[in-house]
Order: sequence, then structure tokens, then C-alpha cells
Amino acid sequence: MEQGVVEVNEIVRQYRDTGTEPPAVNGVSLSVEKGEFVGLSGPSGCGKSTLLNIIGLVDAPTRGRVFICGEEIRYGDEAQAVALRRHTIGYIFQQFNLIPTMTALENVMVPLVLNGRGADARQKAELLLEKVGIAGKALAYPSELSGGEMQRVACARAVIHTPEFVIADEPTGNLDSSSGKKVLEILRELAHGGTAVIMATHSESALTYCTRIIKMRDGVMVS
Amino acid sequence: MKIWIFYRIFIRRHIRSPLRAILLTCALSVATSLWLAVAQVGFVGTQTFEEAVGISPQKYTHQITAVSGRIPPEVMERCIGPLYNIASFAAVRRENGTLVSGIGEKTVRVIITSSFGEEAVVGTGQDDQIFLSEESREQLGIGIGERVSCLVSGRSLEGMVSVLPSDLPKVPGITVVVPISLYQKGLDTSAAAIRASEGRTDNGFDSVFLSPAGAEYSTFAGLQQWLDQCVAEAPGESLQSLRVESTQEIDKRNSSLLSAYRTNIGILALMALAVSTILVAHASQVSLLNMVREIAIVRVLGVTASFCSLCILFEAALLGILGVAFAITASFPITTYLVSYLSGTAYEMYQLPLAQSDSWVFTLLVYGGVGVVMIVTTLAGATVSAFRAAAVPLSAAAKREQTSGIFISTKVVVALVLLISITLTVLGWYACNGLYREGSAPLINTQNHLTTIVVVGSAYGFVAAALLFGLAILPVAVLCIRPLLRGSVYRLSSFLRLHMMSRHIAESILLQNKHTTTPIDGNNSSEFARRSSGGTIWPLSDLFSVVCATLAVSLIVSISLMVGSFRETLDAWTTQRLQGDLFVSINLEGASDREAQLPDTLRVKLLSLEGVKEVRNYREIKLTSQGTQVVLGATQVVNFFEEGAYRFTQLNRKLLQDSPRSMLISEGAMRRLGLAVGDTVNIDTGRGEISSRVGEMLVEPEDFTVAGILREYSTELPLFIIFEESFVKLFPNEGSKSFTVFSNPSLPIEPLHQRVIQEVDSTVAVRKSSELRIYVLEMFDRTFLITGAVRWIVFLLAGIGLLIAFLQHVWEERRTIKVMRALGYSRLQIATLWGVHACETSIIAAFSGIVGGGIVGWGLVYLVNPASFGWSLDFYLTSAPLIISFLFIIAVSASVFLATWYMVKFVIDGVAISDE
Repeated sequence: MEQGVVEVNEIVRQYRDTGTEPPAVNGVSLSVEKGEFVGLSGPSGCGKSTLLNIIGLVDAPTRGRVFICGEEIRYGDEAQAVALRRHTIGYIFQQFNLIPTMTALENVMVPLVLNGRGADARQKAELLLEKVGIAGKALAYPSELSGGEMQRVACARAVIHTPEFVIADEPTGNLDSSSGKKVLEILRELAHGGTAVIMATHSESALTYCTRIIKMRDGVMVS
Repeated sequence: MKIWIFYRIFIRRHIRSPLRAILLTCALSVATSLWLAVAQVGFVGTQTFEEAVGISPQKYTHQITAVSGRIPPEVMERCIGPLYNIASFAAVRRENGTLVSGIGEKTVRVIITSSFGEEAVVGTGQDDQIFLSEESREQLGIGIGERVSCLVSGRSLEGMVSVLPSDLPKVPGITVVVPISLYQKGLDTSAAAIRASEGRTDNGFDSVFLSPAGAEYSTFAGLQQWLDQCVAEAPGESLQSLRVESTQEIDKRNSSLLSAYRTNIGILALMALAVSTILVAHASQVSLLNMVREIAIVRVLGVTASFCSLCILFEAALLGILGVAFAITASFPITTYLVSYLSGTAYEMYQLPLAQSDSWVFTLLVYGGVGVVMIVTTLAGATVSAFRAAAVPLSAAAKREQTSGIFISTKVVVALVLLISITLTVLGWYACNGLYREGSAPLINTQNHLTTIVVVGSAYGFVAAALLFGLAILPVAVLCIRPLLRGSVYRLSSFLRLHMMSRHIAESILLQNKHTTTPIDGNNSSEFARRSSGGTIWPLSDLFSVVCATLAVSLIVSISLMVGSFRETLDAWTTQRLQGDLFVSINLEGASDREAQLPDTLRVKLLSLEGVKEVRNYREIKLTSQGTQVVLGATQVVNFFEEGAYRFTQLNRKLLQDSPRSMLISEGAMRRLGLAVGDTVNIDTGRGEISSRVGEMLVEPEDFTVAGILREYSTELPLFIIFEESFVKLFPNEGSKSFTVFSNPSLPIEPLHQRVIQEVDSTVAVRKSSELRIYVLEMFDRTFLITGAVRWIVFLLAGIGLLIAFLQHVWEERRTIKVMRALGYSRLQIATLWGVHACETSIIAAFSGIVGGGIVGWGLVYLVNPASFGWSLDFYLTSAPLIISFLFIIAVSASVFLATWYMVKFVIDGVAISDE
């Protein structure tokens, strides 16, 4: 069997070891292949975001192993984490997380600049902004953009360095239905292009865009 | 890549929102200014000390010092006989080609010496030369070959300026070397003749360094015997109290004082460093707090932690350079202005060499050094932030992350408070003890420059350190009261009839908190306050913060009370003492006691003028009583007594009115000499057999009985006041020091004023008493200008510190603010809630501070001041503490209001409600 882009084996995340508080993620195993659009759903506090944070190297599991593109993650290895963030992983946050002192164009350019490919970053960023439909706002700062526009900038930033997979944590949570739909279409198109997408969402309509849906409850996968 | 990221994240935010950068720069500038102030005080004192200590070359074995007044020319003349190598201090200024001694612009040493061999100079026909070093020529603006005349110790010495021979001892500062032969040539010119021709006076010398020429003068006893003989044979001039000391002892004493001074300055420097570091590090922490999310985002995108730390340090370095440059640029002209303004009053003691430096290179080095130290301090403070930046959790990009702004623990603050308190105590002890030991007072007795500089420097250092301590602790204190702020917002909202709304807010917040899910009803918002404040409404940290704020206010209030009491006492004293309509005295700068006397003929002349009702005179002489120098004054005691000019602490009225040999003494005399009402005082003129001989008549020493003890602060020396008739019997040759002219009440004063001016010569000053009273107070205000300036600087610093602290606090409370805003609170209401609570807290601190400051101020006035200064001050509750406290409350409240007002807009407009 072909190894997945992301392999998660029996990971556990315990925030406080009080003996009474259950783990946020409890023995979850998961494999995501290239081109998959995986949707994580479940009630608040079920562990979706924690799982995504662990996969995205934002958080570390208490137990368990994680493989990205066949490479086992050594949590605490800063060099490995930086390299994976720069080349392999793309992030989309519910609250957009654009850098407020950069224009939309500059925000999109950041990953390529960090990869040392600053020379063609501007051209590629402009193309991406045109693709997501906000080329006219390239020089606007985040405070001058609407929520939908900011999330589309975030989408462009997440894919400009052609990562192996994109993590999207509630990408439509702060958007109206029209804007949300546009973002989901961008993600679906991304998956069609071979990039794996792992998305956490509450929205049933958003899940219809996914090729696989994983439901979680109390830190475990239920289906 | 690095510059691209750094500029767009760390620099552009300052360009787009300059307020933060301005605040940071201000904090840095303020911290730098503190350093500069310490450096200035330190270098002024040390430089002056070193010059003073350095004047005593090893070849001089003894020093003759005039305890009061100056060494008379006759003694100087006789020194040339059996002694040689005489070096003396004199202050000289250049006027129309003449170097005139006297207190003036430049302090110059005059060395009268034969050490470089008369055959080398006198014998070659070059005995009309006056030698100046290159530095001295530059400072005085005199070229080689130029003919100048020096008016030194009653002698007019004319000569051609020459290069200082290399075999003469090098001494720092401006030095004029006069050969003995040239000095002897000038002996013909008497002081009186010079005064008449030049229209001014001459001071003589403060002290003389000398080496005995023969074995008979090598001991103290031999020298003292010779000195007594000189004094006894001195024709006609007043007899001074001269003291012979070993230069080794003097050097040892000076070295000890210098060491103590350096220690004080060193401690001050460390304190300034601590305060600077706190300010800078705090500012840096605030900066980092606002950057947590951005740092987390860029780290998620692949920026390394070390790069983030580097950016923080680089940003701090840029801001440090900017702040230091601003501080130096701003402080230089301010210091120069203050010095030039004060120099009219306090002469060289306030001339800052760094502002009016003889060496620009030195000045630039000092300022540059301070700048480098501050930038290093800034980087040190930023290093803390850099470490924290590296440790910013990446989850901050995904959810709300609280970062505490308190970077030092309460234990550290307590340790800091203790350290500074102990240091202040030591400094105060040094100041008071040094002053008491030397028996002189600052600002008045300028003859003792060393003591004056030590005391004034230490006193201002004490005040500045106390105030800066208060400043430094305020932001920390404010941060410590955050829990109290959180809880009280809701208690206050109830008070403001916003109870229902606050209940909803409370519920909303509690519902979002997993750990406190218990809803609250409408009646227990205080319970919510208790929980919000971390379990108790009045935790230890809150109590500590209020104590700190109280301490800060107390220190400022106590100093204000002391200065205010001083001024009020002065005002009351001048009102009581400066009676009459006109005040007549000698108007000669630096005139000796003898030269400042008015002849009795002038009194007769004034009495004859039309419109003059009465003329009272005041006589004064300095004597030694029980081994202590005292001032013996005389006037029409009964008249002044009946008019209420004196304020007594004890009085035997009958004795004063009945006995012509009764005496009034000051509180200082009572304390230092252990006298009480009814005691007998023997007037010791200090002249031995000679002193008690008046003309051909031998006057027996007289005893006086103390009839009253009066409050007095016109002199730091013990004061005796006797009847004029008794004084004249003892000292018939002494003139009056001043006349008080009473005019006919029915006539206007101004015409009489003009008539009196026309009748006296130019050396006599005639002032209206009312104007003199105002002048005295103006002089006081100018003298204490520094205190006032420090006070305002402290308020400025406190304002900046408070604003930064509350900006941080409000930012940390942005979640609460957003919820309140969402539930209907207006921007004004939220800002008002925080502002009112800050007002409430500051009122507690202010009132506590008034009480505490009042107690400390009372102690300063009634305990410290009499012991150290010898003056009698009254304690006045002036309006200054109330104004200070009011300003404190306003500053705190306004800072919080403005911070909240700004932050509410930022929170609502810039961040979505779910952006946590």
C-alpha cells in the first residue's frame, strides 16, 4: 500500500494529567493520501483542533507517532519542524491570521520568501490572488479586507509554496455562506490538483465538499 | 529574506501605528536622562573634588585657612618673609584686561612662589612676568606677551603673560603663577586704594598652602606662634580666625570625602541602572505582548525561533539608539538653560562641566558613554523579551494566548524596595552627617565648596533617587493591581447602575470559562468579582501595590512639604524681620565681613533726610564661643521685640526688658552649645590679650544672660543677639551691617527711596523692604528650581509609565472589553469604568501618601533639618501635597481612561469578536 502523506498512529493528547480529566485526543489513528479532501467533524471540544494542531506541528502529542511524507516527526526538533512548515504544510485558520502589517500580496509571498524563492514570489502571488478573485485588493492591508477576502488571501498563502497537504481549521467559521462557498471551492480544486486537504468544520454543507468524513467525539474517532 | 520579514513585521508596525514607538522611545529617553543626570552630578562633584584635592602638592606641608572671612593681606605679606612656596585659592575674573579676584566666572588658582628660582626670572630682568599654562590662557582668553594686571589679595600686580615653566608643579584647572618678587612689588597698593579706584572690593584668600622655610616653623606650635605674631602686628585690619592644618590631614580628609562621594554616586548610578532597566524592559515587554500573535503566525509559516529573538533584539537596538539620541539632544540644551539660569544664584556649584565643559571631547565621551550604556541596557532588557519571543507557543496563532506583563516577581520588587530604601538612608546619613561635621550649610556658606558640593550633590541625589524610586515602582504597582481592577470593574458597574448589564457580562464570560461554570444571580456580582480577582478581592499583591504607590506619593509629598515649609518659614521670617520701608546694605559681591560694613556717619546722614522717621542698624561679628564659631548680632532689641519681629520658643520677658546684659540666642545656639534661658554666656572675642584691648582701654570680658531663645534660620551658625549699646562697648570699631529706614507714614516711599540712593555711593544698595521680601523669595525659588524641575520630570515619567502599564493591562483584558462592547456598553462607558476604578485606587494611595508624607515631612523639618542644617523651620501644611495628590489621581485616571479609550477602539475595529 502506498504510504499516506500523513500517517497518525494511536496518538494521545492529555492537557492536564489530573486523573479525572479525559484526554483531548485519545488513541486516534489516521492516514491521509494525496488528493484527499478529509473533513473532521464533531461537537465543540471533541478534539478536532487538537488533532489538527498535532498534525500541523503546532502541538505535540503525549503519546503516539506521526509520519509526514514517510518521515517520523520528532517533536522538539526545531530544524525538522521548520523545514516541514516551509515546504510540506500549508495552514488556513478560522481567524485568518494574516499579518496585519503586510499587504495581501506580501502575506501571500511570505512562504516563498521563507523558502528562499523570493525572486518569483511576487509574480506567483499575483497569479494566485487573481485565481482566488481578489487581484484588485493585492495592495490592501488585512484591515481593509472583508472576512471572505481575508480567508481567500489565507488560502493563497497556504498553497503558494505547493505543500503536500493543507490544514484548514474551521476555514468558513467566520464567513458568510457565499464567501464560505468560494473558499471551499478553492480547497476542492486544491485537492483535485493532488494536494491533501484536512479540514475541521462544524458545517454540514462544508462536509459535502469532502471526499472522506471523519467524525470525532470525546477525543476518539467514531466513524 | 530576513530584512524583508523584519521590516514588514517589526518596523512597519511602528510606521503604521507610531504611538507605541513614541511611548517606547519616550521610556528610553527618560531612562537615558536619568543616567545623564547621575553622570552630571557625579562628574561635577568628582571633578571639583579632584581639583581641590590636587591643589595640595606634596611640597606644601601646611595650610592656613580662614575660618571666617578671608586671610588679610597683612598675613599674606608676612608669609613671604619666613615662608615660601605659597599657593592660594582665589576666584578671578577678567574685566577690561584686569584679572580681578572675587567670586566670578572662573575659579582660578593663584600661586605665589619662588620655587622656580628667582635667579631664573628675577635675576634676568623678567620679574614682571605672570605665568599661565596653555589651558589657563585659553580659558581666560589671554595671549602670550599680553600685559595684564591681577588684583590679588589687595595687591595690584602688573606683568606680561608668559609660558608656565615646565619645572613648576602641574596642577589641574586654571592657574596663575606669580613670582614672589612681583607680588612684593605690588605691596604698595593698599586694598582701600584699589577699592576706591576700581569701585570694587577684593576678597583676599580663602586659604594658603605653604612650606616653612626654617625649622622653627615646621611644627604646628611654631607656626601658630608665628601666625599669632603676624596677627598681633597687623596694623589696623580686623583680626581673623586663622587655622593651621597639615596638608596631609587635609588630603586625607578630602580623600575620605571624595571616596564617600564616589560611593554615593556609584550607588546612585546603580539605582539609575536598575530604574532604567525596569523601564526599558517593561517597555520591551509591552512591545512583545502585542507581537505574540504575529510571532506565532510567522513561526507556523516557518520562521525560526532564533530569528524572532534576533528581530526583538534588533528592534530594541534601533529604538534604543533613537531614544538615546533624542534624550541627549533634548537634555543638552535643557541642562545648559538650567545652569545658566541658576548660575546667577549659586555660582560655580551648579556649573556643570558637562554642559559648559572645558573639553568638548570629554563631554562627548561622557554623553556617548551614557548612550552606549543605555543601549546596552536596552538590549539587556530586550533580551528578556527575546527569550520569551522564542518561547511563544505556536498555539497562540490558533487561539487566545495570555502573556503576563509582569516580568519581575513580587519578591524581586520587595528586594528592590528594601535595597533602595537602605541606599536612601545611607545617602541621607552621609549628607546630614557630613554637613553636621563640617558645621556649614549649603547654598549660603559658599566658602566651603567641598562640603557644599558633597551636601548639595547628595541632597539632590537623595531627592532625585527618592522620586525616581517612586516613579519606578508605579508601573509595577499598577500591574500588580490588575486582579483588583478586574474585580472592581463589576462592583463599580453596579455602583453606576449598570448592574443588570454587568450581570449578563459576567454570565457570558463565565459560560466561556470551563473552570467556573456556575452561573451567578443578580445579587452576587461581588462573588464574581472575587473569582475574577483570583480568589480574593484584596490579595497580598493588591495590598503591596497600594503600599508601593503610597510610598511613592509619600516621598514626593514629604519633600514638597519640607521645601514648602522652608519657603513659608522664609516668607514669615522676612515679613517679621524686614520691617521698615527701606533696607540699606553694602552691595559688593563676595565682600568680606569687614568690607561689608556701613559707617555710622551714614546713619546720621540718613536721619537728616526729609521724610525719614527712624533708622535702626544691625551690627554683626563672628566670634568663637566654647570652641564653636558663633555670630554675635546687635540691634535695638527692645524695639524689635515690642514690634513682634522675633518668634520665641522660650522667653524671660522681664529679664530682657530690665537687663542691658541680657541676650537672645537662636535655637541652633541652644542645641549646639547646650544653653537655656537663664544661663550665662561669656563673650570670647578670640583675640586673647590683644583682642580684649580696645584702643588704650582694656575691656574686661563681659558675661551675658540668656533671656530668650528665638527661632532663626538666617544663619546656620549659632546666633547671639545683644543690645547695641553692649556691642559698641565691646567692638567700637565695628560698623553696621545694615540699616532699616522707617519713613514718615504720611509720605510716599518712592521719592524717599530715590533721595537715599542719591546720598549713598555705588557700593551701597538701597532696596525697598517690600521688594527685598519678594527678591528673597525669588532667590529661594530659583535655588530650588531643580527640585521643582525634578518634580515635574517625575510626573512626566509617571504618566508615561502609567500609560504603558495600563495599555498593557487593557490589552490583556481585551476579551472582557469585547464582550462588554458586544453587550451594549459604549466606548465611553467602558473607558469610564476603568478610569473610575483607577481613580478609586489612586485616591486610596494619594490620601495614604499625604498622611505618610506628612509624617516624613514633619520629621525632615523638626528632626533632620535642625540636626543637620541648624536652622529653625516651622512645619507648614502647604497646598503642594494636595496638588500633587490631585495630579497623581488625575494622571492615573486619565492614563487609564485614555488607554481604555484607545484600546476599545482598537479591539472592536481591528479584531473580530471571535478572534481569540
